[in-house]
Amino acid sequence: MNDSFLEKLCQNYTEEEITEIKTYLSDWSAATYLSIAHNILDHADRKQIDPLKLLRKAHNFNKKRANRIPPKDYRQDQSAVYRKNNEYLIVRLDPSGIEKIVTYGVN
Amino acid sequence: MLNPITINPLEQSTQKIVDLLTQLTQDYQQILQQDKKTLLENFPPNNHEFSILEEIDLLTADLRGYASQIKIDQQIKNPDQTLTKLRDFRILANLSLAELYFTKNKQFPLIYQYLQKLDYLKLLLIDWLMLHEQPLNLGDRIS
Repeated sequence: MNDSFLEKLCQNYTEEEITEIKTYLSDWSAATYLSIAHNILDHADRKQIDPLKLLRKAHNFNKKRANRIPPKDYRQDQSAVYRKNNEYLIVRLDPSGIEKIVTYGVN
Repeated sequence: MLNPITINPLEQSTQKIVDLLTQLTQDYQQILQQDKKTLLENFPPNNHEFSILEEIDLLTADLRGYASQIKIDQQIKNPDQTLTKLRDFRILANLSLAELYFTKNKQFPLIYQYLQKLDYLKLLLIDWLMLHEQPLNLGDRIS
């Protein structure tokens, strides 16, 4: 798929940073957006955060040491939140049954 | 020649969605800057449900995603499935969020108005999908 959002997302970064971005994208879900990169761009714009910084923070979030709500399974909207200190990661299952990030934030 | 937006309900609906997206971006940033601290004091996160900021973030992401598809592509993927999802989409399912909306709205006017706008965006998206699927059926539209 020709993803113009990915091109936009990678603008202004070095080759090394672009490789890093592409690695982190696999952690995320496109959710209701057209693509994962589209989700990241809108997310970063809304929260006024550099996209790569956002991706790094979400990637470095340690789910194993976080509180999960609900503790097992998912809510009716198929979501769950991991919370550690003031950071949170909201996830949903992708079609292959793997949790993917829908959004990352700070309470 | 008439501007299509003055006569075409679908174009009107699209423009309302695009305008609302811009407003929501500004409002969200204002909430994070102004209300975050007071919100945490009044509604500290608990281990039973999503915190208010988490819930607002997810509601925002879900609705903005659909709206952004319209903004970029003038279409929505899987329209029938999306229409069903949006009709079931509840803004105030979270108890803390409902409490804020109904009993603390004067203390948190920005969040109250933001939630109203999210609800309006949901209705606009439903309206848009109905117009898109049946452009000649103008019944039950939001004016």
